[in-house]
Order: sequence, then C-alpha cells, then structure tokens
Amino acid sequence: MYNDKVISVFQHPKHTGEIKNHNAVGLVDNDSCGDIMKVFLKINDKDIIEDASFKTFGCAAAIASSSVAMDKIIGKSVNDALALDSQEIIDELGGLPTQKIHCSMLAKEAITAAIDDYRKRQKRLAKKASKQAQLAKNAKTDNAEAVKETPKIVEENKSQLLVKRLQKLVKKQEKTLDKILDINKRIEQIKNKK
Amino acid sequence: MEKKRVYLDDAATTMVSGEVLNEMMPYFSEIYGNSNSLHKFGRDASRGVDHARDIIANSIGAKSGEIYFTSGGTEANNWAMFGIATANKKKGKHIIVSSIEHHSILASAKELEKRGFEVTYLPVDSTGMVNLIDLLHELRPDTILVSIMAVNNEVGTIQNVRAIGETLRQYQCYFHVDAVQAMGVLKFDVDTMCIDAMTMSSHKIHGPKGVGALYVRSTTPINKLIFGGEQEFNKRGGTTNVPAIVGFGKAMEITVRDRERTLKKTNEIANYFMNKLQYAIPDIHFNGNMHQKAPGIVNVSFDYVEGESILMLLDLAGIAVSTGSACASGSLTKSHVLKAMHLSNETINGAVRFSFAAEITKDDIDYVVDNLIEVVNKLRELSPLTKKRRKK
Repeated sequence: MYNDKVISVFQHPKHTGEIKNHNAVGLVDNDSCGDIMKVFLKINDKDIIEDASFKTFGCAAAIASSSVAMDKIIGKSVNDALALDSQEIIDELGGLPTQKIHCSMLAKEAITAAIDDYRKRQKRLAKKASKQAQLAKNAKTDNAEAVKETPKIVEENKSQLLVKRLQKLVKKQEKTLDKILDINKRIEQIKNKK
Repeated sequence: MEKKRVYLDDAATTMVSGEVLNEMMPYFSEIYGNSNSLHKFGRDASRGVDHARDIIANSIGAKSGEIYFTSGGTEANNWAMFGIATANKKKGKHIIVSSIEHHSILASAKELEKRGFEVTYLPVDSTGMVNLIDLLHELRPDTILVSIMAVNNEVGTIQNVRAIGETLRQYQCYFHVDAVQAMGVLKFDVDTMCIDAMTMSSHKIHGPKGVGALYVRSTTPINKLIFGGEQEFNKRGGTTNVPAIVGFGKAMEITVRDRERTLKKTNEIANYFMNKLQYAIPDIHFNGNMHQKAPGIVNVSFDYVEGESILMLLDLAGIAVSTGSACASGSLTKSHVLKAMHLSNETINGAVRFSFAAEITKDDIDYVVDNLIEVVNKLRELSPLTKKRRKK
C-alpha cells in the first residue's frame, strides 16, 4: 500500500517530541479516523520559524506526513509556512494511497493551528504591554498633579490648624475672664456685707 | 542470515497444509473431469467431491445431502440470509442478527431491509457476548430467521450456540450459525445444537481459498442464490470446484482429527503470549471474553498508539498481524465489532489482533514480544496522548 519512501520516513521520523523554548503549540484531531497531531514551534521576533517538532497519534501516513511537514517549515517565515500546500507533502513522500490523503492535511492543519496560537499569544502580549504602558502613563500624570497640589494643601491645612488653635485660645481666655468676673462679683458681695 | 518471519494472522487466512495440498494435486492434472459428467473422468471427480461432502457432513452431525458447496463463507452467508428470508417471507418479515456478525451477514441484512424485511441488530456486552434475554426480548411472532456467529473473527468470543439453538427450537424461526471461524474451536452437532443452517469455510482451517459450504437442514426452506446448472442437488449452479472441495474435505478431516491436540497447544501458546505481554508492556487491554474465547485469537489494545502504526512496524520486522483501527481500513471505518462492544475510540484505534495456529513456537512469541516492546515504546514516545509513565 505504501511506497518505500513513506515507509522509511515513518520508520525514522525527524523532529519528533517537544522542543525547548517553543512559543506556539497547535493541536488538531481528525474526526474521520481519530488521528491526533500536536505541533510545537519556536518563532523568532522576525516571524521566522527557527525550530519545529511534532507528536502524532496516527497511522504510518500521518507520522510520515508530520515529519516531512516539519522539514518543510523550519527556516521559513510564518506566512510561508501558512502557505504550505498538503500536496507538497504528498509529493515529497512520492505519493500516498488515496484513502490516506487526508493524513497529509492533518499536518497542515496542525501548523495553521500553531501559528494561530502564536498570533494569539503575540496579540495577548501586545495587549498586555500597551495596558501596562497606559497604566504607567496614568500614574505619571497623577503624580505630577499631586506634586503641584501639595503646597496648596499644606497651606490650607496649616491655616486650618491655626484657626483651631486660636479658637481654643479664645475659649480658654473666655473661661479665665469668666472666672475673673466671678471673683470680682464675690469681692463686691463681701464689700457690701461690710 | 534470513530474516525471521512470524505469521500471526490465521484469522485472516491460513497456510494450506501439506497433507491437504497432496490430496488436491491429482485433481488438477489427472482427475480433471467435470464432476457432473457421466463418463469415467466425471465419475472419478465426482467421487472425490462426494467423499469431501461425507467428511464435512459427518464432522457436524449432518446428512451428506444437507451439505452444499459454495465459493466460500461469504457466498454461504449471503445464501443463508437471502435464501431463507425470501423462502419464508409469507410467515414473516423479521430477521435477527447480532451486531458483531461478519460483513457478509450485516451487508446482506442491510440489503434485505431495503427489500422490505425488518432486521434487529442484537447488542453485545463489552466482551462481545450476545445475551440470551436480549434475544428473547427481540423475538416476535413474525421472526423467520436468527443468525448468530459461533466464534467472532476479531476478538474470538464464543457464543452460547447451543443455548441459543435450544431456546429458538420453541419458535418458528430458523437458526443460522456462521461457523467460519469456529471449526477448529468447537465440536458441532447440528441436531443437539438445534442449528438449521451453518456456514463453513475452507481457508480458515488450512484448506484452499475459494471454497466453503452451507449446511441446510432438509426441513429448512431455502431459495436459490446462484442460478445455473443442476449442481449441488439443483440448489447452487456453477461447475463444481473439484480440487478445492477435495482439499476442503481433507482440511476438515484433519481439523476434526487433531482438534483436541491443536486446541491444547494453541491454548498454551496463547497463555504464554498474554502473560508475557502483560508484564512486558504497561497500559494494555485484552479485548473479548477471556473465559469463553477461541485461544488462537488474541486481541490487544495498546493505549496512546495507533494499531496501523504497530502493524506497519511489526511488518518491517517480519511479523504479520491485523488491526481494528480505522486507519487500516480503506473506508476509514472503525471495527464494527469493537464499536458494538462499546470500547472507546482510542481503544479501538489501538487494537491489534494476533491470531495463530498451533505451529507457532515460544521462540516465535519471544521474538514478537521483543519487537512489540520496541515498537510500542517508539510510538508512545511519538504520541501526544502518552501520559507520564509510572516509574518501575
């Protein structure tokens, strides 16, 4: 059923397992036959796929297609990887049996899913960064305003304190005055008795 | 050094044994007459066919006149289904088959549904057994035919044929048994087992391909499937395949003669294999009924990996097996047998069938298990489903 090329790639698949420092993961499954493929990508800031690897639960065709697909996208830009045609994978393998053509699509779908994941992560990161920038900006303007307002507030506070103290003093003096008046009254009474 | 080869796909087909081949050879070049011809060439050929018919009839407790040769198990199953259904349609239109029957029964049932018959597909339990109570529930006054296979070809589960037969005796319906996979496993007696029709095949018991037989009880009405000459008691047209029938007869003779000894040996090998496998590879499941199973069929699901990949890698090591996974079938459909047993999709896709004859040695099994360990580990490393393995 399979040609020699498919068998040999299947026997010795490349780029298997999970690469370190990957920054994108794509996981897809095939409804019709139950195959599952997971792709790990390491994409640099110039959108170039530096490294890629896969894990596949599936038949010989699915595993061979996965291996060839990784070969095809390593070193390519994200956009080039997205443009990968599953026919290229089939050609590289020297053809697949008709009922196995869908296995080559799985690889393409997994790569697309991984790149979607990468873009989502990029968007999330960008959003996070802009949010932090906005927060920093807000904090800055708030600070500046606060600094401007501080002396005024201090002044206001000071005068309020003075008024309070004066009021206290006045009350104290009034009390003393009342006492003096009281004493004077008593002295008058004593004088009158005499 | 020549690469080792181990054939573990006897449930697909078997090697023609030397004894059988020797018996057949003269019928190709010396006794080549048409068994229906009146001259000596024909009469000599006819004798060979009659002898084979006697052997087969004797081996299942039937009369020779109740054995009809066909082109194989599929034709015999088709004939039983269409022949008995159409001959009895005045009595009723209801047919019962189990959901784990061979495709030749299930496809016939589907076609009969199109032609106005009603078919009930009996469920099975997780070990592939038909429940007698379920069968009793489904039986109706207009049920005309019940077809249940004796031994399942994928998981080896053996049905309680006799109990089913005895139960059905009280009903008006006819009981057909697909015994293609069962001839080397069970001792049949169509009378005590109350079987009205039974399918047999030659190439599963070390006979040649392209020949089988249908037993039809003389009191079971059946219509023709193949129209032509008056061969096979005017029930099945077509020039008699004399050498194949002679080979089939011999194969049946040997099967019955050696049945006890073969079963004992196969059972020993199967136990050795299953024990070894259980200790060698974690996370595996044996499918089928472990208490009531053809010893020569061992169906195993390997978690996290796909059956076809195992098949391909074992093939590269010279080991032949088969799988129930969807990937291995042209139509991308999962094994209907494992599906009917309500196994999970992953278990079905990871199922591999090892089927063997008594000739397989412990050395062969050691070689297979060693390769399996390697293959399964390799594929599990590749699989995104593999859970972190327990430390040993």
